[in-house]
Amino acid sequence: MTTEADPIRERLRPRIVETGETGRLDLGRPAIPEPSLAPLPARGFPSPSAVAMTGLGILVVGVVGIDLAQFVDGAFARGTGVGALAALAVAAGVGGALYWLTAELRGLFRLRSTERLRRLIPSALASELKPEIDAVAAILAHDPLLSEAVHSYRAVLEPHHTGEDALELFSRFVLAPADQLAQAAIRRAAAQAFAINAISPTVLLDTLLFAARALRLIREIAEVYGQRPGLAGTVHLLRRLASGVGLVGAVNVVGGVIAQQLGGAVLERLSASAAESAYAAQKMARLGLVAMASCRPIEFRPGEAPSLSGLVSSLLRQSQKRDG
Amino acid sequence: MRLLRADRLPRLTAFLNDRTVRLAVTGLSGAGKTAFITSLVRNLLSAVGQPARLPFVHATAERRILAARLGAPESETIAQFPIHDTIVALAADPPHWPPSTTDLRRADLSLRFTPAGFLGRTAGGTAELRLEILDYPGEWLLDLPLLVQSYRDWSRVTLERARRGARALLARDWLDFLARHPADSADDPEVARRAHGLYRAFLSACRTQEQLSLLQPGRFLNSGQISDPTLLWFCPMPFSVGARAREGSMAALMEARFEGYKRVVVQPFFTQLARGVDRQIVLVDVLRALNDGEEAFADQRLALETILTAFRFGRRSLLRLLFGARIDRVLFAATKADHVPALQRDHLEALMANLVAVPTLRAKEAHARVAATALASIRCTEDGTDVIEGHKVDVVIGLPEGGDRRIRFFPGIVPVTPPPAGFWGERFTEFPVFQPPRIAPAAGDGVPHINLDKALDFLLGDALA
Repeated sequence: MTTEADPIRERLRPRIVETGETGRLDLGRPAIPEPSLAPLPARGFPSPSAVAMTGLGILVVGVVGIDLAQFVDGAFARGTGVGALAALAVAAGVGGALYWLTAELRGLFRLRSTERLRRLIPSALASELKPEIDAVAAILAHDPLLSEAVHSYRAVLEPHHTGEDALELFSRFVLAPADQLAQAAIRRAAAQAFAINAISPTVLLDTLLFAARALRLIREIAEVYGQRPGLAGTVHLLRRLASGVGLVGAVNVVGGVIAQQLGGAVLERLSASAAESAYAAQKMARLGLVAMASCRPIEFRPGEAPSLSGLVSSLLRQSQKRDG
Repeated sequence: MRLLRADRLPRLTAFLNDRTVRLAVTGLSGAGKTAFITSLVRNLLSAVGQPARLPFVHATAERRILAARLGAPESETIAQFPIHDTIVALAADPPHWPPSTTDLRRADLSLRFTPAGFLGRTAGGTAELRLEILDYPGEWLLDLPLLVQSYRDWSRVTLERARRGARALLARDWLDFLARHPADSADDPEVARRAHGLYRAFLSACRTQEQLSLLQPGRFLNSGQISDPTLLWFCPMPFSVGARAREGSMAALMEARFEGYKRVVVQPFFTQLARGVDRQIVLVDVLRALNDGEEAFADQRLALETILTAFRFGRRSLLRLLFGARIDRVLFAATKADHVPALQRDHLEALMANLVAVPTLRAKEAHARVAATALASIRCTEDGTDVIEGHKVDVVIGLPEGGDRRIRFFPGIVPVTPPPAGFWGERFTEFPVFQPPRIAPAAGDGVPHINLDKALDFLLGDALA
């Protein structure tokens, strides 16, 4: 029974409070929010490498700046027309460099934001999950490939959905189409790796072409997931891939089990060179899967990750169709 | 010669994927069956080619539903579910909830969709899901267990129950009357009619004053269309241990009417309800029972378990289709989830799962798929916060029926398991009834809800695959 001696229970009793608001609720389609990323937490002290790189950067900018100033000054000494031309050329060069630098920084910022959210989401509380997924959606909304998917996600997300609901809907409406695009990119790259290996006259050329195609694949996958890396972003991605999964080692180890993956019967039907090409394709596919797992803004849930055997077999089917 | 011609493949798809699913919407009176059916039909009709309000239904999320239409029931004996009138009532200004169902009604919905399976994709073409849903007064469900009970057993159990707890006070007039007219007295139709009247008044008081649920026979509270009202003129009578109703006695008259009631009224309803049912959703207004107090809560739980003994669960198989269909998916749903804020909906779901632990075990033993959820067929509130005695709490905000100012409703703490004796405080009698939100009379946007789409995906997901 509820008594005065039991204040906690009394507080938890149902109750109704009248408000000043009137009118029926309108629970039509929710407005699409424009979430913004929370700022990164401030670090106590900058790292030594960051201090060193900043100092060196200032040195380079200073030296180049002084050189350019002298160059323009010297040009003006030869005549106003030559000076103006030099100033224009320097301005164009500096503008181009700034544009490139801005694009690089934006790419790098997007990459880091995605990485931060990717780290936060698995451990997020239910109440934190929705804003964090909204932040990922905000990043992907700028991606022309996925903007429509993000719009669909926002259109179906309603205020009563929980964080887990939002994650499920985001996976279903945004990440699933992105995964399909990424897999299509992997299949294309694997097919090209197959062809490169088949026609390449030397091992060195084969290796160079494979590396170039692999780099392009990684950038394609990063773009699919809204990261659009520039040079710095690509280097960062490669570092992450290499450190995270032991890129080359992983690919080679996987190569060791290729016979199991492909099945003895398939290998018997292929010539020795075709088997080597299939191996190259499989390596490329494996690399693509690692890149997918690394670039995806939200980690794969159990049973969600595409399988290597599925990709390889679809590739082999394509190859056999072409041969047939 | 090619066995499969390309132009015949779509027909193969239809052969493989066309299917009729009979969904039993089960729930006691006031559980929200009519609202559930209305929201289900309306949202599926609005889901053609767009995820709309059902993003958790795979077929709608993948935009595979190509057409949806409401058909007329094939049977002439069952009236069509009045979806149009119900929507008009909900969309009116001010709106009003549809009245309680008083007779059997059926909604037939046909969904044309693109199959997602390998064969469907390969063969092309479309498939059709015909969905048959029955609506009926919830009280009638309580008659189903009578089919396997004798008059004497039913009388004994009912009288025992009537002498305990809150029922005892309400049953006094009826029990006094029975004491003056014992079971072995000479049969008299007029006495039987008066005894029936007093018993019916007792059942009615149990419902309105004490919010009890296990009230049999159900037709005493909601008779529907019965050609011969004298079939209802009976009530339980006390029997001596081992005694049988003597011919020409009151007990014999009551027993004959009880058996006639089962044969003429209950059996045809059960045949309609349970024949060919493949899926079942059991709607339970757990929150109201929780607010109505310990006895009402326990009574609701017992009523549910009693009703569910009448249904057969089991995995779908060819043999079972030949020798009697079984229900292969059961969803237990706590309704009115919009009366609790988001964080407590998980509690409500867990409480629901715990409440039906026994029927769940029975269904699982028969290899049926079972799940529990909390849903609101028509969402009437939005989440908010309030400060109660200096503490910030989550509340729901909505416009109460008949009111002009919105209220903030704090529903208390919903326990995750059936509460112990010390939990129960005074009965909370002001449980609000909220007005539905604005609903467009024309189809398109669907009806706002909570978790209806998850429920549909569980119940129909495989049929739309």
